[in-house]
Amino acid sequence: MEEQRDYSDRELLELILTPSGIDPAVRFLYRTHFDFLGIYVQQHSGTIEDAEDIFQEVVVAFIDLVQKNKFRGESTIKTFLFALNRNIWLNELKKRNRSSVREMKYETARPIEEAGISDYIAAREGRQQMMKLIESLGAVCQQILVAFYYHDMSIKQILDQLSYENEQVVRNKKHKCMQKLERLLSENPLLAKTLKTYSHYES
Amino acid sequence: MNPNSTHTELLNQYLDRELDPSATKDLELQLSQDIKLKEELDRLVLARDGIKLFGLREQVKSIRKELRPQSEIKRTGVVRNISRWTLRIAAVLLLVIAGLGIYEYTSLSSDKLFNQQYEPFEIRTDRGAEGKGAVELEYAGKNYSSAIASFHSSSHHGPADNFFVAQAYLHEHKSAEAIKYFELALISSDTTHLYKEETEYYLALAYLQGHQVNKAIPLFEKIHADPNHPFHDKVSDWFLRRLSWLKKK
Repeated sequence: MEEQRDYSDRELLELILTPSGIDPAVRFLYRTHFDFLGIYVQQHSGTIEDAEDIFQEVVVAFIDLVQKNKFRGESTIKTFLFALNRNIWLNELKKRNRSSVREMKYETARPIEEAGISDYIAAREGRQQMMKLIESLGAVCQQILVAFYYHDMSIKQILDQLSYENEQVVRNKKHKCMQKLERLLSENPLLAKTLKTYSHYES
Repeated sequence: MNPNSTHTELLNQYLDRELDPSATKDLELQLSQDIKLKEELDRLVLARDGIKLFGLREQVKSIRKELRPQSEIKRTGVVRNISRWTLRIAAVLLLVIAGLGIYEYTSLSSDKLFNQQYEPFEIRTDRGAEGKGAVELEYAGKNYSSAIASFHSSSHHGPADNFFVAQAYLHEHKSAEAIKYFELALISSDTTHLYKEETEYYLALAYLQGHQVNKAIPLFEKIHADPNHPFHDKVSDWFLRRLSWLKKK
């Protein structure tokens, strides 16, 4: 059985910043925080499936913010995750137009504590649209692009994993996939603008 | 993006840091002068960042799928919590029912049962005064003490007099007399068949009023067992159960 390690806040943040640390960090987050945060969603008009979906988004958002150095550590990770979970869920309820008067009052009464969270919530819809654009590229493009940009694999490593003739074919394929995604973004300038506003990227 | 752009591949290489320093310098100069080119690069950067986020999401999703059996267990836990709540509610209800049962048992008495069960016998109005004895007439007029006085003022009694004087005594809470005359009425009803079922029911009530539960129970059980008995509907299971509790007290 896999060893289940516990991490302090500092250890967890360091773990997230290491290339192989995401897997154990995600497992740790699920093990230690899902029950607590899931109950919040279920107590505020959500189902267990909603709780699972929101928690997945919380984990992704948290890791993304840490990796972009936007988690300032002004609160504990637990508090930050709770705020993230609450704000994402209230945003989701608002999106579904289902939020009750009480929940909306609660939302306005409890301002978003962390700047990172407010940026995340503001760009949430845009990120979701972006995920859909990537999904629309198809499985092959997703595989190559994720391998290259997320797993930081070289073209040769991708060639070893996928059945292409040579590295150039993989390179061309990757190029076409990027070109396609760039075109989809150019067709949706509002989305590109929203994403750019909140990206603060470093090219 | 300009579909015919010859720069796209170059921009990709720049983004992937695959250009040599000289080509990088040239491109950065172009980027500072060409807004469209810069916008295209911006979109490529957004695309790359989107893919990174997509990759992270897929990794988390895959771990979530792997952890799902545990999640299902947690869900079962929620169901267990619901069951636990159901059990708690059931336990509270059980306590309430038990409390009511205890209250019912402790407060149970012959008088209480009698008062809940007793309704004065009503003489059918379709019968005229003809053929009615003096006792019955007084009873019909709800003159109960007069009915009793009338009964005792005469030594000759009609076939229904015992029944009506017993009713009058029952109404006046004189159970010993009521029992005596109902028993007489019951014996005579074997031959006259007059008010036989009514006598059975009211005699049972008279026993109850007189705290003779042991004698009342067989009569009530007989009435309860006979669906054709005119007082069958008045003797419920619940009433019989309470009688048996009263017997045990």
